[in-house]
Amino acid sequence: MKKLWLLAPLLLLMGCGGEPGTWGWYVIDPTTPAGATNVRFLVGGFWATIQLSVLAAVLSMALGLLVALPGLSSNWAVRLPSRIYIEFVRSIPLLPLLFWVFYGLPVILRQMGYPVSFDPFWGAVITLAISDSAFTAEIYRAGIQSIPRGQTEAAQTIGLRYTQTMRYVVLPQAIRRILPPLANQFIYIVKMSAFASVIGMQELTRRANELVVTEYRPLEIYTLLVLEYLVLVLIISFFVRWLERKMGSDERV
Amino acid sequence: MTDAISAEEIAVEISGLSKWFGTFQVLKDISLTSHYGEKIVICGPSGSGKSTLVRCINRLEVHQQGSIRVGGVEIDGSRAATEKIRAEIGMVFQQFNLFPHLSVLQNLTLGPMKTRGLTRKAAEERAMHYLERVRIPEQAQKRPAQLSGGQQQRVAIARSLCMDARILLFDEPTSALDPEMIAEVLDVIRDLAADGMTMIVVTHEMGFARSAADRMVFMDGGEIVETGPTGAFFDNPRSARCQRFLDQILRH
Repeated sequence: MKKLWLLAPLLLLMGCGGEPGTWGWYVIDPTTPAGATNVRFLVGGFWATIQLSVLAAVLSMALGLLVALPGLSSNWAVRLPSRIYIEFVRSIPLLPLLFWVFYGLPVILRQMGYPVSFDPFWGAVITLAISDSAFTAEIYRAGIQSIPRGQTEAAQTIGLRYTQTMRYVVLPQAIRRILPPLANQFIYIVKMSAFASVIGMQELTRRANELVVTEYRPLEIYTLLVLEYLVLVLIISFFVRWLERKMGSDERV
Repeated sequence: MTDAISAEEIAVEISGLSKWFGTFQVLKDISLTSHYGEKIVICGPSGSGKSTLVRCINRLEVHQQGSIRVGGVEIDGSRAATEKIRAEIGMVFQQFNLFPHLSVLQNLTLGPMKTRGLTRKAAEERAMHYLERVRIPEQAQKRPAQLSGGQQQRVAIARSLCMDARILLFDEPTSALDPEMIAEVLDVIRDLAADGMTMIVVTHEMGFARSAADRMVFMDGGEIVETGPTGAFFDNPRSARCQRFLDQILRH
């Protein structure tokens, strides 16, 4: 019975092929010259997706920390801007945010006397970083709040200032707890980087879309696209596992 | 108290101190003076405000009324004052609060290196000196989690000694310990007391209090009910509340 269920998506796939009932795997068959060219074209998007995701993730982690720290203040006036930023930014869908940043921001900046325009790459990096920073900020907050108050108090009694307490006592402990959800968020960025295709960036999804337009074989091409993202995500997962093991061993000895 | 002691320099001077958590008043018009070299033990039922009082002295809690002076510096909420008084005071917590991600040695060197500008070598020498003082130099490279509770608390004591504090606050230092480890920690504290360290200790260990304290303070319901020289305090407490408390705690 279970095996029959496995067949269900396959039936669906066959039904949706270019010509009913047939597969068109030839479009991405690397043993034929045309197929090999197509595969090379699709795989050529890897580097752009990686660059985009890594840069956006690094920026969002930095921005997220800057947003999270004031959010932990005991003073509500300091806390408020952080709270507003998080609530506002995380509720904006990615697509409109991308348009605001890529098309809207240069207009505003030009009116203010700064004639700048982003290329699609930087437009996408900034958008992803902003959007994601609201989520990473919440991850940081949860992680930092999970460290017992006594740790901060002990740091204060030996004279450490706020930034020293964070740097030497709280964050090194929090990072171990923050790492898994942060990795989750990174994987999310990798997949959301597909939105960059909308503003014309030649990453994995854009290339797949372009090939679909000329080959009329969306199912086969998108299947390869799924596999491409799968490879990226698996690499991240293994890397994070390794990192966790390394850090975990540090604490428990 | 003898005149000789009261004539000495004042370490901590608390007057008219009141504090509220929301609408609940935890401390009611507390006044207490401690001199350098003096050992004060504060006792009282749980919820009486002893811990809060001690935590106010190094600004871990913020008071709303009255004044606290440490070594002549008034705790007025300014950063400069807070830094000054924290340099003067060391604190030992009930839960030790060692830094679990650092080795014992790093726990001791962090403060001196970051806030006193000591080199690593000097800080480590000082750390080893105090680890020997609390009799666990061989544990220097281990992590806190590898030590017993008693050993962890002794590391915590060494950590505050490394800061060259002149006043030590103890907030129920043995309450989280298994019974067989209480003695080793109290012995260390008693040694420090004998060396002339200024101490304010919150504890339920009355045997320790009798042997180490110069003066006893009994708190109940947020106020100081009774205070007096150790001998007189134990032998004939004046207030009924204090008598009842001592009866209960000394019975077993």
